[in-house]
Amino acid sequence: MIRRLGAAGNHGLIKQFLLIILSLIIAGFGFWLWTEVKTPGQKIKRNQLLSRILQETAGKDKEKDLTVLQLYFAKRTHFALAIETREVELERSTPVQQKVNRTLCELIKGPMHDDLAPTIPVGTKLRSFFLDKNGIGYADFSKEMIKNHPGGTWAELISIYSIVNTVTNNFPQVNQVKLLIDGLEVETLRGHLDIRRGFSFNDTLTRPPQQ
Amino acid sequence: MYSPSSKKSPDNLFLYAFFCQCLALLLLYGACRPVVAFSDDRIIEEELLLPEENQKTYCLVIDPGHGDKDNGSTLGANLLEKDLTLDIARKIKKLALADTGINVVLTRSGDDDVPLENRAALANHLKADFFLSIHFSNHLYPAQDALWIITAVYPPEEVEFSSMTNGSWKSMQSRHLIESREFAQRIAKAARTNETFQSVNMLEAPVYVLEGASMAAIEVELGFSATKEAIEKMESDNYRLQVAKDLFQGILDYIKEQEEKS
Repeated sequence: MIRRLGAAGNHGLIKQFLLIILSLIIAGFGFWLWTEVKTPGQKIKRNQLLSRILQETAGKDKEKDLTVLQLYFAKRTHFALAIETREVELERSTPVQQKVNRTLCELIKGPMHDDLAPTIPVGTKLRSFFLDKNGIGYADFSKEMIKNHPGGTWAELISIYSIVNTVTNNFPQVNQVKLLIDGLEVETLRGHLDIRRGFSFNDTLTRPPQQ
Repeated sequence: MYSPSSKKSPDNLFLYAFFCQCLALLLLYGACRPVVAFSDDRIIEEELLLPEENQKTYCLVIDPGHGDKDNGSTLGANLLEKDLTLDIARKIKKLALADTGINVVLTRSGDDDVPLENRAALANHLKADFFLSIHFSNHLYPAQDALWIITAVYPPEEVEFSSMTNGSWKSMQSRHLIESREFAQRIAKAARTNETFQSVNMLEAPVYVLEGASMAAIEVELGFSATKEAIEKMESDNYRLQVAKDLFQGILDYIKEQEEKS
């Protein structure tokens, strides 16, 4: 009997102890909330963050987002490249490789504005785009890229940099772009420029050449 | 005591004969060597004397773009880039014949297929002073006529790497970029004086044919719109001669500038 009473007494003590701890935790949480209300700026930030996380987790797969792409085409009046902005629907969760794929397909379609000209030869298809760990993107085009290319240093230069600038400008995670034709590395498109190395973003071509 | 040694005597005789033969060969080699050395020295002396007697001769390698199956750009119905480039190169060579100070070598003398890397390699083997690659192109956008004077360009890390190490074949030109740019500027200046071209533009691009060249090297590209006037212009022999004269004048100006410097 004594043992039982003792045990019951112990239980009571534990319960009381737990209640005190629980009330302390609740009080602490309440105090923390109160300080949060006192600093509204932070609270708004928190709310925004929370809603963003909720948005991303809830409708992750279904949600489509309008992405503004900057596509580089040739100017018809000057020796230069120019940007055309185009809105495309891209799912947020789409991997970068697929996003670049879509962007390059838009570039192949050609410009919408009349004062711009296409830079990719007719009939060219993008076979695939692959991004490696070092941020080097491999854009693999079909053989029409060479077959239907007019040739010439300037023409090859604008074809290469319209691709390179479009990809690197829209996707900062891609540092360099390397061109492949039919899955293979080639020396040149039409005998002028060396395309064995990867190319980085080049802004000089958006300005007229040095006279 | 004698008998065992006399038994070995045929062996000793053979060894002795072999030794004598070696000695004779050595003597023969020694006798020949000074003669070879003398003839070598004389040739080198003769070679060294030549430029001292005359003025310094320069070697210019001209590379007419494309050739054989590779037609290059098609500019008119019967106007192929490979024929135009060869014609301009031949015209410059003819102009240089009058000037004894410049020895012009073409990377292809006819309608031949020469791989891109062999073109700069020829200039390297000849220890040429300048390398000039000639191209024509069809300007679709914009439809304007322009002369492009192009020098090679490398990513910064590649230039750094090649200056530290021996570098690869394709980074050879990275050590001559300053000379090449000076050469390009001279050519551009000469090309502007006679107004042979609507516009003269400078450009830096990773040109394949220039990358292996270990000397001042540029590419000139005559870009034409596919208009009737432009095609007529290119078909005219007089116009092409004027182009050759302008380019040759640029080369002469560059040589003069270099001589004044040194």
